[in-house]
Amino acid sequence: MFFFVLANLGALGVAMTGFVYPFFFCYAGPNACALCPIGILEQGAIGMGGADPWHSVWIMVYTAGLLGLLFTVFGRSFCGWACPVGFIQDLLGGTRRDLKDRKMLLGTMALVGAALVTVTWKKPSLLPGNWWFLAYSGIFMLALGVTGLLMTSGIEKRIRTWERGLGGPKDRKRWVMAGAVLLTIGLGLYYAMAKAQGYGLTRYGIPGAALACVGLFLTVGYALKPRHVKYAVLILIPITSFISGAMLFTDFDPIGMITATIPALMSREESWNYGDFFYVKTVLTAMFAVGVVLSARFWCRTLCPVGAGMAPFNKISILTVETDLDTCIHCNRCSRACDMNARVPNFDRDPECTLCGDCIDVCPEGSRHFSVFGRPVRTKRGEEQ
Amino acid sequence: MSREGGEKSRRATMLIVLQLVLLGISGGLLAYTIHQGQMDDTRAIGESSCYGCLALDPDIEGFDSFWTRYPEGHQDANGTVDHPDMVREALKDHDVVMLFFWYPGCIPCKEQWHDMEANDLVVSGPSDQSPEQGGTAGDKFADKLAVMPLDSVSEEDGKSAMGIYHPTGRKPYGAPMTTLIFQDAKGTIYWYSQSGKMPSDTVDALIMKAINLSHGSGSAS
Repeated sequence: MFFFVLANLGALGVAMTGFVYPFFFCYAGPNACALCPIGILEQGAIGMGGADPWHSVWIMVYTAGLLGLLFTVFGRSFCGWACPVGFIQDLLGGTRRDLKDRKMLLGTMALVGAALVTVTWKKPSLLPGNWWFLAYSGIFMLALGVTGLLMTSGIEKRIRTWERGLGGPKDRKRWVMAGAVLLTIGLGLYYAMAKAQGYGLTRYGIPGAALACVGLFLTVGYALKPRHVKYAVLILIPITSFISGAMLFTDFDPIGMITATIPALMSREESWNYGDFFYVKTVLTAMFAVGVVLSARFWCRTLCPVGAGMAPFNKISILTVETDLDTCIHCNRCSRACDMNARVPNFDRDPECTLCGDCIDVCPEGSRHFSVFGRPVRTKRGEEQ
Repeated sequence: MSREGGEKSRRATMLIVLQLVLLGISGGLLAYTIHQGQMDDTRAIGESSCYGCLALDPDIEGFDSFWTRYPEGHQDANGTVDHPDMVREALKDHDVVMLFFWYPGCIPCKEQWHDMEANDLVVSGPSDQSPEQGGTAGDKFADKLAVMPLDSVSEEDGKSAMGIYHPTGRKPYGAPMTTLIFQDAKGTIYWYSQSGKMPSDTVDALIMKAINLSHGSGSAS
C-alpha cells in the first residue's frame, strides 16, 4: 500500500500533463502534474455558463472517459492505494489503530510543534525555507497534538455513534429541520452578497456559504447518514459552480490547502500574500485534521466528492474484494480492521470499500480475496493457509 | 472454485458483459476526445495557475520599467519578443494596448475587472457570467487605449499570447495577468506584464505613463 502511495507522491514534479488524477489532488500546487477531477468539474460547470459551452462539455466528456475507464477496472481502489489524502489520513491515525500508538504520534506532534514554534520565535535564522511557514505548521501541529491528546477515546466513541446516524428519531427530525433552516438562511445570505458584489464568492459571501455548508451537512447527515453527505457534495459542486460562476467548493476545501497551498508556501521561488480564503481554509484544514485523528478516514467516508464519484463503480468494477463464505468463520476481524466501516464480510461490493486489502491481511482463513472478472486472485498468504 | 448455480452464473456473466460495455464506452469516449484535442485543452486549464484556489495572492513586485526584451528572471532573459499580429494591428490605432488575461471561474480576474470597470478603465462585455469576455476600453482613456481581454484557458490567441507575455515564461502561468504595450515615436515596442491581481489605480497610473511615453521619443523607464 505504501509503495503505491510513494509512487504517486514521487511522480510529482513532472511537467503538467493533460491527464486527470483519479483521486483528489489540487492541480494548482507547484508540483502537480495532472488535473484534479473536482477542479475539472467546477471549471467545466463554470465554462458551460460562458461563451463557449461546448469547449467545457468536451473536456468533461474526456474526463468522464478517462476516469470511467479507470474506475470500471479498479473500482474505488484509488482511495485505498493511490490517494495522497488517504495516505495523510492513514498517517494521522484513526480509531482503528492502537490507541497507544496514536497517543505517541500525537504527543510527538505536539512536541515537534512546540519546538518549531519556540525556534521560529527565538531564532528564525536557524530554520531552512520560509520560517513563517514553519511557524504556521508548528502552531498547527501543536494545536492538533494537544487536541488529540485531550480528546481520548470517550469522544471517539460518541463521534462514531453519531456517524452511524443515531440520535433517536425525534432528535433526528429536529437536527434535519435546524439544518434546513441554516441551509436556507445561508444560501439566501450568500446569494444576496454575491448579487451585491456582482461576481461569485468573495470574503463577503463567506458567512452565508459557511452557514449553508453546516446546514447541508446537518440535513443530509441526519436525514440520511453522514456517509451520504459526500454524494450531496458531489452533486452540489457543479450546480453551485454554474450558478455562482466561482469555484465555490474549492474556496473551502481543505484538500486544496494540503495539496496545493502548503506546498506553494513551502517552495521558495515565489512569495505570496494571503488571499481572502486563506484563514477560512486554515480553520477547515485544522478541522479536517482533528476529524481524521478522531475517526479513521473521516474525510473519505463522509465528505470526499471524488470518493462519492468512485463509489458506484464498486458495484460493477472488474477488480473487487470478495468473501468466500464457505470458509469464512465470521470472526469479524475484517470488519474491525476496516477503516471505512464497510459492511464486511457478508456484503461484497460495498460502495464504501476502498479495496485497501486490510481485511485480506487480517483474515485468518484466507476467505477474503481480490477477484478479477469474478475469478478469485489469491495472495500468497491466502494460499499458505 | 466458486459455487455453481444457474442464477449466480447468469448474474456473473451479465456483470462481465456490463463491465465490457462500460469499458468500451469510456474507452471510445476517451479515444475520440483525445483525437479531438481535449487532452491539450485540459492541460491548458492545469497550466493556468489558479490563485483563487490557492487562497494566496502572488506578491506583486511593483513596476520598475517597461521592457523591450524579455526581462531578468525570464527563462529567455534578453531574448527578443515576438509580438503577435493582433497587438501590432491595435498599436496602429491606439497609443496603448492592454491585454487582460482571465479565464472563466477566476475570481481574482473578476475582482480586478470589476475594479477597473468601476474606475472607467474598461467596459464589460455582454455576459454576466464572464464580463471580461468582449470587454472594451472605458471612457477614461477612450480611443487612446485598446483593451483586449483574452481567455488564457480556452482561447487560442489567449493561450499563445500568455506564453509570449508572461513575465517569467515559466508554467504554470497565473491569471489574472495584465500586460501593457506601447510604441514610441521611433517604432520601438515597449511592454510590461504583471501576473496576479493588480489594483486598478496602479493600472491607471501605468496606462498614463505609457501614453505619455508613447508620445515622446527616447528611453522609457
